[in-house]
Amino acid sequence: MAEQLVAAGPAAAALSDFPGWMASQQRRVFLLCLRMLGDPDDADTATQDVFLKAYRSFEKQDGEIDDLTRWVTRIAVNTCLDKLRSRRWQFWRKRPNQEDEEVILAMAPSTGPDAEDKLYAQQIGARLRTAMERLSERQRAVFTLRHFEDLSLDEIATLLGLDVGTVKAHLARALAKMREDLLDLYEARRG
Amino acid sequence: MKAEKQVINQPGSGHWSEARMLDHLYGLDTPADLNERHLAECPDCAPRWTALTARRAKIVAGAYAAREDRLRAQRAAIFDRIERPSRRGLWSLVPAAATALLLVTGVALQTPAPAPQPQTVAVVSQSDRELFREVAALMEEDVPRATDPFNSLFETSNSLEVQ
Repeated sequence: MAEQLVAAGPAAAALSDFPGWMASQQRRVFLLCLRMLGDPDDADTATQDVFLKAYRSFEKQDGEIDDLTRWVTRIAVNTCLDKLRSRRWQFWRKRPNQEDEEVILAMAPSTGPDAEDKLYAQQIGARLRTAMERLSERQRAVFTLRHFEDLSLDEIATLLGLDVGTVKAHLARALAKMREDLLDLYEARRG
Repeated sequence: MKAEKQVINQPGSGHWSEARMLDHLYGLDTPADLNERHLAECPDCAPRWTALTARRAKIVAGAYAAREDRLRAQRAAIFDRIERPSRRGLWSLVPAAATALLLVTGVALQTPAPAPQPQTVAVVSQSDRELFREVAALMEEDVPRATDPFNSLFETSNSLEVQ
């Protein structure tokens, strides 16, 4: 099956088995959207938009796609950036309610050996989300792709259509802000 | 512990500070800063670097889990949105059809432009000019033109008398 998919070309193969391809990417794309948007409902909508765009693109056979994973990641990042920009005008937005917070916390790693580790992980997760809200859209995108997706700076630059120097600048500022926001938590942990 | 931390973060100590390790982890250090050999060999820095990269690898390896019911609901919504346009059928053409209808109606309601005025004006002007010329000519003549038939009678008689 995998060989057949490769021989048919990535996009054609994905279209012929769209549910299977989508299932292989969905979790990663959803988590990427969640980290960038910080809101589960927005991340749901964004994930749906991403795969709908992918499906439409496969149907139209828009150009050649060499790397489907990178291609769909780019769609996800751009979709999230659009949503973040449109949020600027939504002054009525409130912070996620408690139910949403629990959903977000459920995304945090829960494989710590003891209760203290679990609690610490949850605290880190909550503080990380708050700190990421302080980042600009570009800084958030770059940080998410580097920290969570483990892409290299060159890959991030290609994906976002920026030069490497700009990516570095965004990342440096993002890290500086994050460290400033998380310093007390980190130092408390280290004692 | 605090004393160790002070030594490690002391400039010129040769040890890598937390900030420097983070920069290196995220690829922000310059080639001149690179001294990965120290990270591998220093008894203080090596374990700290190992712990940092291990924590990072754990995150990247997918320690985060998304609830399956949420993902299932997303998939259902995605397939619903994919199928939705085919159910709409011709309704998707309504906005375009409405716009076209408005344009056609607007064009059809436009009355033809009235006949150009200059032609009528030219005829009037021409007849006016002729009238003015005739009047001027009449005023210049000593004898009215209307008397021409009678004059012709008299002219013939005069020529006979001379002989």
